Amino acid sequence: MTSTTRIPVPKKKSAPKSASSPSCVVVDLSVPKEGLEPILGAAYLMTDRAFVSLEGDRVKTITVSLTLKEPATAAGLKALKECFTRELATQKVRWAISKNNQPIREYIAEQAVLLANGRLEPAAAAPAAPADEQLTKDQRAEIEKLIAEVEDEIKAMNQKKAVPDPKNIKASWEEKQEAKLREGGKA
Amino acid sequence: MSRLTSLPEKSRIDAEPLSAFNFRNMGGWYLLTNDWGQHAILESAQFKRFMAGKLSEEDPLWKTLQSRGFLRHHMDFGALATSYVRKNAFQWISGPSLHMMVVTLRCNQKCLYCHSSVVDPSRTDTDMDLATAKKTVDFIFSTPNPTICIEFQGGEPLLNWPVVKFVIQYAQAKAKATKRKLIMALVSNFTLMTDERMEFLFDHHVSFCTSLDGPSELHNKNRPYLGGGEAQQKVVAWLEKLQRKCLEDEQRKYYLPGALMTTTRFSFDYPKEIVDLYVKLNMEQIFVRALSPIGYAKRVWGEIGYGADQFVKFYEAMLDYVLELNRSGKASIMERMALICLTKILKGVDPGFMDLRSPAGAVLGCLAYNFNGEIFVSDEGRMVDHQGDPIFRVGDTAKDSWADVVDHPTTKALVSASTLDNQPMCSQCAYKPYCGAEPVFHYEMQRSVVGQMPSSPWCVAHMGIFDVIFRKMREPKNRKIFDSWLERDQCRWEENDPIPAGAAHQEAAA
Repeated sequence: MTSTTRIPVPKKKSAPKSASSPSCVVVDLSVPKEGLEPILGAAYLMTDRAFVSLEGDRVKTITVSLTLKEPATAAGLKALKECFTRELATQKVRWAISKNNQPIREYIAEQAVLLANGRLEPAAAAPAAPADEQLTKDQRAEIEKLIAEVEDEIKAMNQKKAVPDPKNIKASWEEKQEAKLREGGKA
Repeated sequence: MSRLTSLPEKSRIDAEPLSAFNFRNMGGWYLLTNDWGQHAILESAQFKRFMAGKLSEEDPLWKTLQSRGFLRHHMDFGALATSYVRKNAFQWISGPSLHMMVVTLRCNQKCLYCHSSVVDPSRTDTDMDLATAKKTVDFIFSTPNPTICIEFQGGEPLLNWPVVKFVIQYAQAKAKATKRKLIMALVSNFTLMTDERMEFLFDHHVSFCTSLDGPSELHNKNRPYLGGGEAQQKVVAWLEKLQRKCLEDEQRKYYLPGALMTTTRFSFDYPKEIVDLYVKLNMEQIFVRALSPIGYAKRVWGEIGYGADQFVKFYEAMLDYVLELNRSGKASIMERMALICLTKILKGVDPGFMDLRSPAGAVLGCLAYNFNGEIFVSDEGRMVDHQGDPIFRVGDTAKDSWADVVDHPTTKALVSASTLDNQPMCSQCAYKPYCGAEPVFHYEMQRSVVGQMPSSPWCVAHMGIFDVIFRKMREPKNRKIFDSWLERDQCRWEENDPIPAGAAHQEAAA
């Protein structure tokens, strides 16, 4: 791994902010040596604190650029680089373990599926039945009666008057914001 | 160190004898977990030995790690496959079990955070009509899960009582005809509850759940009541009454009411007072829940929201107090989030909590039905729609079948996005066997159903909660209490079939 740390030093005092702020950690990584997944994994984990950019060839060399989301300081960039380096080393271990065990994980998952299917067969085979056809004559009549009763209740309910609103709670969020604006308050 | 935690510098590693596992540096000790739901806690020196491949069969740790599937050359495949099946029980049963019916958007409260995006009580045009209710129940019973749980939501569902009543009776008739197990729950603010309604609900085996944010000054601030007056007093009065009724009658003991608290920024001032109120009301559990910046809450986040790390601190303070009350014998109240996590960690079974699943509960575990028959992947998905974005709409009870819904491109995208093995960070996290990634949350926060976990508030909050629970679990004084909670919860499971009593309450966004 070869790497450089770029410390933010404005070239000119009058330089625009965008020209002086691209202070970032840039790391060139050999893909055959570090592995593609560990590089991508470590870079991804940095996205909580840095903007991450990857460039290069996914077979040969990848350049990882990390720009702190917070204002950059020399100490902050140093810590960022150390964090990335440590994470890359850890990612290599995580991926090595994962790859070593892939056939085992697949085998156990397969066994689990077989086991579950055997055990839960009756439940899994439960019919997705439209129940109308299975209602008895009495049940059907009862439901018809219910529907008629509920329709009457709804009619009666809709005839009731609206609830009073002394605190103006009914006003929508937009209405309240507009009112605030009108009053010169902060929206 | 990344949030995932890294290995110490200059670690000596021999990966060859190590089985598939994830680890987490907990500061002085390490947590190891694997896909099969097993975990192990190692001191730093033990971890060093383990990673270097220097663990001999004489080592006291060897047997523990071997039996839990951490040693590659000594694995019991049958036992681990069984453990995997138990842990992921929800994967083997096809179709959702939880069906949230929004019978009206009307509400007589205007909560500061209201997900449900309510409308004025006079807007009866947002009531579910009978024809839609019937079609919705028919659709629910066309899904294949042998257990159907219908949860009435709103708005305030009691504002459309006739339809609630109809659905209860119609669903019971259908459950009988199709030989399904039916569970029903009403999520209500109780302000419109009457004795007659209560008796009807008891008689039809409907359980009750409400929102109780804390002492009146907090509750009434979070949940203003249209028309003025004390909303909190009504909730408390009905909770007490329902409890009395449940305890008076052996047949009703499974229907003890549940309550959910939603944490706003204002809750941070009342951690003890909130717990004390729940204890005073003899509530069996308190569920300390974070507010999700979804729907209406997203617009007012600046006024009522907070950072995920702030929530974790608040959660720990609440849990500490709950544990302290348990230790001193002053109360036996349980904290629900801890109980959900402990059920996964210590019992290796799925407690039926949709948010913490891989893949997420959306469609595969739950569906939400709007008043007009539109079908959504979850209630949160419906709230996003209410803000004008229909991305999480996967069907309509008037014209679509279960096959259409499960085959919908959105369903497939969400399943793929929320499968933790597809997530670069989650797939390596020690909390993977217990956690979940919520695609609607990430869509709202990060404009992607996949999300970006390193900077996700969802991940920060859940990783923080798991950190808190594992740390507390290590202390024998806490472990004893946690074990007693699991035992009490187990009794309820056994007495009330495999479904935990009031399981549907956990999904509610009251």
